[in-house]
Amino acid sequence: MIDLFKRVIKSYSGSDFDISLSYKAENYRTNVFLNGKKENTFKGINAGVMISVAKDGRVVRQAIPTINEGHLKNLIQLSRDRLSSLGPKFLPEGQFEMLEGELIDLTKDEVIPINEVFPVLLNSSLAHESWIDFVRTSLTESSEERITVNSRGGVFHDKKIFTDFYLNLMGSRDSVNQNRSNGDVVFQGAMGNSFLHNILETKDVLKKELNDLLSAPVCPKMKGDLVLPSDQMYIQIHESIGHPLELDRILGDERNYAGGSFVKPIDFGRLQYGPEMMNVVFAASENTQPAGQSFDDTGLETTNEYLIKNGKLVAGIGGFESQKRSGLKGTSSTRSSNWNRPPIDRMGNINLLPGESKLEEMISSVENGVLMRTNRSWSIDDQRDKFQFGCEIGQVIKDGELKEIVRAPNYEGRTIPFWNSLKMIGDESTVGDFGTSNCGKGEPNQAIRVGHRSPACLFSNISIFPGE
Amino acid sequence: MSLINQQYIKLLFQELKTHEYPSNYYFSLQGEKSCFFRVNKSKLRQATHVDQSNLNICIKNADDESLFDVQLTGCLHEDVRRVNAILDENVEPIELTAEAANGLIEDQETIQHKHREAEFLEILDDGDDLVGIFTDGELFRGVARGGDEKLQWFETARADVDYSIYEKDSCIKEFFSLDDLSREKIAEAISKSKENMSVLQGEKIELTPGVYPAYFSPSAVNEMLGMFNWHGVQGKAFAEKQSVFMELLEQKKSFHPDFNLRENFVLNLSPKFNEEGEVSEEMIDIIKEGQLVSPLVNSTSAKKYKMNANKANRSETLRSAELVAGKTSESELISSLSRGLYISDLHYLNWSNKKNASITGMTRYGCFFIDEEGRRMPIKDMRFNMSLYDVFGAWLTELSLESKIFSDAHTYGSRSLGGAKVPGVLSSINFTL
Repeated sequence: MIDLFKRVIKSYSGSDFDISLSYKAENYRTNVFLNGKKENTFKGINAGVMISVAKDGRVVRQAIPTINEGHLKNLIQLSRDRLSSLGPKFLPEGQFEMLEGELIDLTKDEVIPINEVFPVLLNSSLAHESWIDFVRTSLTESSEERITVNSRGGVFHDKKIFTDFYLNLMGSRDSVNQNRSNGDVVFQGAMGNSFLHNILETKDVLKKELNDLLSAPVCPKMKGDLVLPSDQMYIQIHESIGHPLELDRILGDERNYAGGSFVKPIDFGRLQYGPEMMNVVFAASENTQPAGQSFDDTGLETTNEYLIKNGKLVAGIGGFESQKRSGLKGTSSTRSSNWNRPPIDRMGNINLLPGESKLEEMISSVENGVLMRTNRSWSIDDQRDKFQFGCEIGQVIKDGELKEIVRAPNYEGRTIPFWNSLKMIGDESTVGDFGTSNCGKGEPNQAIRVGHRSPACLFSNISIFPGE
Repeated sequence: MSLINQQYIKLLFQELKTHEYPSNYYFSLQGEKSCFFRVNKSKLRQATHVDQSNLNICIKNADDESLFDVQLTGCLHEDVRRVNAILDENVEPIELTAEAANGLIEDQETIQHKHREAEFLEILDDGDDLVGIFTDGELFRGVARGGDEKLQWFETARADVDYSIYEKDSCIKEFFSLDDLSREKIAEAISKSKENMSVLQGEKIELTPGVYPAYFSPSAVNEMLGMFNWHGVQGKAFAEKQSVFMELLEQKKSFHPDFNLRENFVLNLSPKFNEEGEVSEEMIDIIKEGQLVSPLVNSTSAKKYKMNANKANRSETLRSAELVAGKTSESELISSLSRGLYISDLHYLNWSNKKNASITGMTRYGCFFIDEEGRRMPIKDMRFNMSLYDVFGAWLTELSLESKIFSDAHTYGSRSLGGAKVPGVLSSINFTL
């Protein structure tokens, strides 16, 4: 295909416009098991080409599901005609650059043969107990291939494999219905054997906790300390650090849909986002996290960057176009969700770096508080300030000791005061990898994979309340 | 027209011999030929044209279902090859990538889409801070069952106008659908939005948490109705005890007697047939006089959980919802407010308490406070947390006489069809932060 793209582009050499042809293909296979039986199989292929024709910083795009040479050429011509009629109507600060050079990054991961996966999934979905109504297990393996060739001599090609695993136990006792799940586990790379074994161990833990939850009281209402392990920290980072730092939100592009940001251009280099021990990075090179990659969809080579250093905001999330428009420091993270959408500013792997505290030290420092695990409800305003989160399971902490399990724990807060109430950051032993496959923004909508690696954290004086 | 149309699908089905497949095979299609004009500060930010169609094949076995989704290319032999490859249990989907990339594709005449962007964009005034998206184009759905030669088909052309206009940090949001991007209608709407901005002048006031009387605009009500599709009135959600409305089902809770929610296919927002070709009744009462009458149940849930099917779609979601209107005009309802709120829009709703059907979320855009003397003041956005049993039950005073029709303009991967007809609601709101 690279040769075909080169040939098509070469036929326009000497033209006064630039061309980029971007092929993306996604293939997936999902198996869903319910109570020890196969429930669904999903398989799909989704592939096409985005043709971008650009002149003077303005671009017209056409997305088509074929790589037919004649059709590609017709649409390049059509785009060029459109570009001339639309030129004056484009945002004057709009930029589009064609990067040169060749970047190839092909994964060698292989999917695990289905006959090895089936028995584990089947086993993990067995209900066993009378108080467990349903157990649903779902595993998705997918591959994504990207090929971009442009008229400035740029050639970019990569191929990645992703795994999404979800295990959800649904139980009821005496009119109390509760769920206990593993959160949404998504990572890059094939599912290894160790992961297969972990599934059954994870299920045993979740089962015990579900049993506890079904007899547990609801979470108390209090102003107290909050301990959050990585399976809740990931969404706290996602909603109140990742999104507000996106440069296109700060530039106002998203105000009609996803929203704007409380962060203003003047805040970079000045805003104390959290305490000095807080460091947040854009970790492009973490290849087992969902958004690890060596170049973004504009062909920009990725580099790791600090977003928040020693608690201070130092850079935003956005590629070269947004960096030029805003004059702010950003990241190489302009991505499209698929062949049929244009690239926009996205989170990559946005990680909070570990500190020095053991989980036990955090707990023993708490006089009155709650430890909450596994996100189940999330909401934040369009400027990314006032949030409310709910978790599947809570555990009361009293005088430095873990006490009873409580159900439906919730907390609320405002972004900057909340992060500045961060008192302890967990060490390497508390770090967990989470993320989401469905981070949504953009008009039209684009759902994309992002990753968040985080240690457990302790926040003080937080408004905690029951969701029941 | 798109690379793929009804004529091509008939040809593809002949080639695939779909009529020779067993009757537990369902072949459904969705396609679009769309233009998306994304605008910021009244200038074009992105212009993207998308031509895409997918064939979805569902095989319903005694105990499980398989779903295969194939991106169609418009090249007959490539599409046939993809379908056959994906139906093969032994072929890993990952192997398809290289083949698809190398596949020969027949030449196909390019048919140019209407070429009117420049003309339409003329209406945007450089002086306005307008941000949003204008979408235009054709959409289709089709379905055929194995063993049957009949192809059911629905196609429509729809333009979605979805923008916000800002003046400093005040904003008016507008959304409506048209047959196409009519310059006159859009210009008229923009001019009306600017007039409506006058009520938002002045300093935004900060409210203290608590319960306030509130008029929810149709747009705000539609946002809350959307929650009925998420662990709401789905047959599967009830069967698995995951619905937030378990207590409605058990008749421990109810909505206000004036709360009537139904599927109304007379609105013609969506095809009446589902992915299996089942044709729905024109009207289905979901909630009548505040009580649950029938959840949305498809044939899979009906069989698996022994429920009564009503030909719901695969996700058992509302396709053409109508919340039945009331008797008092919107302007009367708003003017009855004293120390209350006009809620224009809501943002980022989520279930905060599933047992009690409680939602949390934020106010957004053009919300304002009305004091005892009828003065209107814009507010700083507030977080709320409240039960739908209160908003649409104990707290509900009246629904407005006027309704607004909202097309489903979601674009998750592809453009959605369907929508809802929704009035405003006079009730209360519980601010928490």
